Amino acid sequence: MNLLTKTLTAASLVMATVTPAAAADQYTVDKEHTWVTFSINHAGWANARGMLRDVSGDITFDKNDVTKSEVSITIASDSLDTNSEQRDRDMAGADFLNIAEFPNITFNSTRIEQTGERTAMVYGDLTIIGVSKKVGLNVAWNNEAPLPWDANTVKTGFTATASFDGTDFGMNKLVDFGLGPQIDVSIDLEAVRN
Amino acid sequence: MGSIFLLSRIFVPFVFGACLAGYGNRRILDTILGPIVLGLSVTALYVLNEGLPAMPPNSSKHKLAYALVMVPALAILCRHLKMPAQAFALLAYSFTFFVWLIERQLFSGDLQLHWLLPVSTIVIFTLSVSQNTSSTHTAFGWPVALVAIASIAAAIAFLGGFLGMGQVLLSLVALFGSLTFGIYLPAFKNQNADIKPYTASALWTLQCGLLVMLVQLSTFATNLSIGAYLFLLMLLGLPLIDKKLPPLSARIRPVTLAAISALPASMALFLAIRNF
Repeated sequence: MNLLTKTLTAASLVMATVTPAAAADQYTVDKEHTWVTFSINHAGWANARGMLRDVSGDITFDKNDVTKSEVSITIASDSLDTNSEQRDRDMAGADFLNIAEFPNITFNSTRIEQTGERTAMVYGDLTIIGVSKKVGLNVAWNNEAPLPWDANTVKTGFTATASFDGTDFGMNKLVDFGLGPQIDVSIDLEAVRN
Repeated sequence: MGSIFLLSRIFVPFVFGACLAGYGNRRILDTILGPIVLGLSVTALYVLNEGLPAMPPNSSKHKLAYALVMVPALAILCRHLKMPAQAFALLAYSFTFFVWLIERQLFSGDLQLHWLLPVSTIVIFTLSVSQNTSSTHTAFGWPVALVAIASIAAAIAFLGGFLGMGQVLLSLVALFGSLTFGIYLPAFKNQNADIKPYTASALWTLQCGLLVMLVQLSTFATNLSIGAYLFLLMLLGLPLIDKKLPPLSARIRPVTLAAISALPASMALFLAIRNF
C-alpha cells in the first residue's frame, strides 16, 4: 500500500470514530391531523365519547434508539367536544376539567421502553387540573413519508392508547354522576419533521 | 346511590343540627364551643361532598376547604368586636379568600368581567351583616335568610353547572334548617316562649361559611344565571326587613319572613331554570 493510500485509510478510520451518529429528528404536532378521543362508561348504559380538538406539541424521535426519544404534548381543555354544548360547559366547570384555573392538559414523557419493532410504551407525567400522575401510553409508529405534493415536508404518524382513573386526578364528581371513573384514551397523531 | 346521598348529605346534617339546637337547651351552641362546632360542621359537610383537599391546595375547591377550616378561629377572635368591626372582619376575610381563588388568573393578567359578581356579593353581604344587632325581634331574620339563601344558591348551582357546590349547599340547607327549627321550636310549643337568637360569633361563623361558598359559586359556575343570582342577593335584605316588621308573635314571624322571601326566591329559581 503506498503512502497516499495508507494516509487516506488512516484518515477515514479516524473520521469514522469521531463523526457523531445521526441526531434524533425533531417533529411538531400537526393539529389538523391529530385526534385525541376518549370514552368513559356512562352509568352502565353506554360509553360516553368525546374528543379534544386543540392539540400541540413537540416530539424528538430517535429512530436508532427510541428510548432516547421525547414527547411533549399540550391540549387546550376548552377544546373538549362531547357532542353536547351543555355537557361541554358542565365538563369545563370546577367539578371536572376546571378550565378557568387549568386551561391545559399536558403530557411530558419521562421514559420510553421499546416493546416491538415499531411499538413502545411511553411513560410520562400526565397533568390534568393541576394534578400530575405517571401514565403509560401504548404507542405504535405507523409510518414516515413525505407529502405526495411536497417532498420537502416529511410526516410521521403514531397511534397511541392509554387508560387511567379520572378520580386519581381529583375529578371525584365523575363517580357521583355515573361516569367512569376509568377513562380510555385513543390518539392518532401526525407530526411534521422540522 | 340516591338513598346514600340523601342519607349522608341531607339526613345526617339535619339530625346533627337538630341535636345541636336541642342539646341541653343549646348548651354547646351558646358557648365558645358554638362557633367551633358550627364551623367544623360546615367544613365537614364540605369535605363529605368534595373529598379531602390536597396539601398544599392547588385548585379553588381545595382552597375553599382551608378557608372554611379557618372560620371558627376567626369567629372566636372576632367575638369581642362590635359592629361594624365584625362586618369589616367578614369583608376582609372573604375578599382575601376571593383574591386567593383567582390568583392564577390575576397574575397572568386574565381579568374577568364576571368577577364583579363575587365582589358585589361580598359588599352586599357584609353591608347586610353590619346592620345586624342582637334583639329578640331579629332572632329569626338571619336564620331564615341563611336557609333561604342556601336553598336558592343550591338550585342556582345545580342549574348553573356547578354540581358539587349545589350538593354542598344542599347539605347546608339541611344543617341551617334544623338549627333554625331549633330556634323556632320553643315558639311552636308556646308562643310566649323566650326566643334565643344565635350568639354573635355563632352567627358570624355561619355567615362567613355561606359567604365564601357564594364567592366560589359566583366565580366559577360555568352557566350562572346572573339575573337569578341578583335575586338571590336580594334575600340578604331579609334581616333588614325583619327589623322593620311590626312586633309579631314568634310563631308567625319566621313564617312571615319565609313568605316575604318567596318572591325573590321564586324569581331566582325561574330565571335559573330558564337559563338552564
